[in-house]
Amino acid sequence: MNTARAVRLVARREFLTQVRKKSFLISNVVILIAIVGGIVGYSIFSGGDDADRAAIGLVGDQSLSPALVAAGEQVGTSVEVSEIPDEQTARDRVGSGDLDVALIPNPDGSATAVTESEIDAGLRTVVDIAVTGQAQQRALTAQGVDVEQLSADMGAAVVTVETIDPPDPEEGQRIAMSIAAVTLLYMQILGFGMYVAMGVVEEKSSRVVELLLSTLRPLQLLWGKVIGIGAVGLVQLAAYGVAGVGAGLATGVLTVTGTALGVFAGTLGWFVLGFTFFAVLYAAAGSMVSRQEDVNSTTMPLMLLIMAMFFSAFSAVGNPDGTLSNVLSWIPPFSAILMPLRMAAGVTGPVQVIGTIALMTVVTVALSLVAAKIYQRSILRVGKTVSWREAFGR
Amino acid sequence: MTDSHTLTIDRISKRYGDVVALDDLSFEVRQGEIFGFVGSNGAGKTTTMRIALGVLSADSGEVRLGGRPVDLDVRRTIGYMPEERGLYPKMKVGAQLSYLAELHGLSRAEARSAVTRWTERLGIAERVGDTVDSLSLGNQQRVQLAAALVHDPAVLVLDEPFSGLDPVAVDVMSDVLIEKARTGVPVIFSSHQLDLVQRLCDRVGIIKHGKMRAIGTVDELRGGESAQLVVHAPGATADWARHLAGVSTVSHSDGRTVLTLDPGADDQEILAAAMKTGPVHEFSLHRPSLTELFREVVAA
Repeated sequence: MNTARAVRLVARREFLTQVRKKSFLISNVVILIAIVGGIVGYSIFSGGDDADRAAIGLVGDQSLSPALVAAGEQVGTSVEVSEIPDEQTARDRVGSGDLDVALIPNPDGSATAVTESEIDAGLRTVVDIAVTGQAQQRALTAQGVDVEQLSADMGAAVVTVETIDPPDPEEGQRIAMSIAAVTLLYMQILGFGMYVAMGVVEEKSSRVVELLLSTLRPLQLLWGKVIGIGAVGLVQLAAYGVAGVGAGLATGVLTVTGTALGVFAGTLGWFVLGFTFFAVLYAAAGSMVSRQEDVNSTTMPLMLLIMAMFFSAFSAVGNPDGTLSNVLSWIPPFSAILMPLRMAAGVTGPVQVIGTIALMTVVTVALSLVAAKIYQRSILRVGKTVSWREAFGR
Repeated sequence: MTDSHTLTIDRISKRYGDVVALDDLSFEVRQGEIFGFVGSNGAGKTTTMRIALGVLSADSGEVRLGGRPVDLDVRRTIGYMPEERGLYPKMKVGAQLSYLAELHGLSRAEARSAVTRWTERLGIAERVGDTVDSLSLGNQQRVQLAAALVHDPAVLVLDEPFSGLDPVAVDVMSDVLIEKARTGVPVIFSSHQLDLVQRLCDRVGIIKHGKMRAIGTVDELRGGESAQLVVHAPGATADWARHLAGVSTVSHSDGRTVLTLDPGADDQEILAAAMKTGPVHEFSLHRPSLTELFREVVAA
């Protein structure tokens, strides 16, 4: 039997064992529903403009209505004006929360704004502009000024804003995708790395490894396990990604199709590299203990390293092109989590992408040779837990 | 099958630090032979078997099958039952056996039919859908044996296959070993149940401190021992047999005398002499059992 078949057999068993677990299936269905549901929910509650419009009730004379709408547009606080028959109804509807403000024009041109407890500053400005504007117009007309001519003349006096560094309209989406990519990578690498360690300990503590090693080379067993469990992680990550990006694009929460697909592909690719980097270490960590209870003692340093990666990535979300993020993204294994982030933020180029992938690959290969050696030497040693110092020292 | 299926252990040595586990150990298990491997705990049985399966590496020496050094490809033709029983506790019996069969080189279809065949033979067919850890210890042992047999091995290496088995399972196991040996498979197993070893094995090897101290058929092992005769004649005195040629008295108490006979000594003459002392209640030839031989070898 050749190595490819041996590794394939082991990988197949690992894959099937993992995906057939009831807990695995249930938790994934729940998470997928949460992802799609969350995005759809977000689009419903944030997408509609109606929710943002302030409701103003105008009592009596409706001549103020167009001025209110115009002022709203001018200030940037859009308003919806509705006609209210009398003052008492207006007060009741403010009290019930139906209206944000009820406006009662007085005969002298002043107006009373009725609100529940306090009036929003933007809304206050809208009301003020409308009321004073109307008063001004009346006064000017009374003095014989052609109001229409006046506004036409003044219309030319417009300030145009010119930005040197315009804000990226996609920034919000990029940050959201960065956070999603970083969080998913963190969970997948940590979770599936741990599955590798536990799988190795299970074989060791149940002694089935002796039977396996009479038909397999230790490295065939190691790589079969890493590939099988990694494949589950990759499929799961892809499912989350398809659900998230698909729901995002379908609901219009995501509009940057190209960037989203790039981030999706980049995250999958970097998962493969990052997972492999840690999986071989987790396998070595698993081989160093003899009982499930002891596995935390050897996997702890790996968990700390992954958490350090995660926190460095999170600190870089706000400033993805900072010096720290730039430097760390070259260093394996930090590149595995920072590069997808930088790709999402759009602050990296092909040179860095290819360079960091090459560097990460080289380091992962070198590390896998060391980890495989530790695994090979420790897997049949039953008894005392081997420390990392001993494992590297021998 | 030809002689190409002799398992040869050729001068293997293994040390753990200062402890010599195996010291230049050599022996053969011939094709179609059941070989009993006995020795005290720590004598080196398990170490020998692990080395034969490549799970451990020897410091020196070689294991061959039919003259060919045992490499991974040869090893896949061996059926192995490790001393430390081991199966995936949460994996279903059928899937597990099928997986192990495939690791030994069977195709998926071959593996499936072999699993059906052996689980039926070993009386665990109705448990193939259950996880291993839900089985009783005795049934787990049967699964373990099935794991050693499922790929139709060309050699069987079984470390303590009878430990923990109920009498029915012991019979099933014995039948399987005899049947496999009849097809020409060399079978080696270790055991502390020496009566079983004596009954089943064509040849026996007794190991002590990593060296083979005695090897051969049970009869051959007895070779050095002269036959013993037990005579129960209550009326006899201690020296009743002293005058008989080729006979020496080993012990005499309560009218029970144990004699050793030189080859050619006439037992009828002894019986006649015994009857002269009065009634004879017992007159029996005693052949030392493997247990007695074992004690003697280990004590030496």
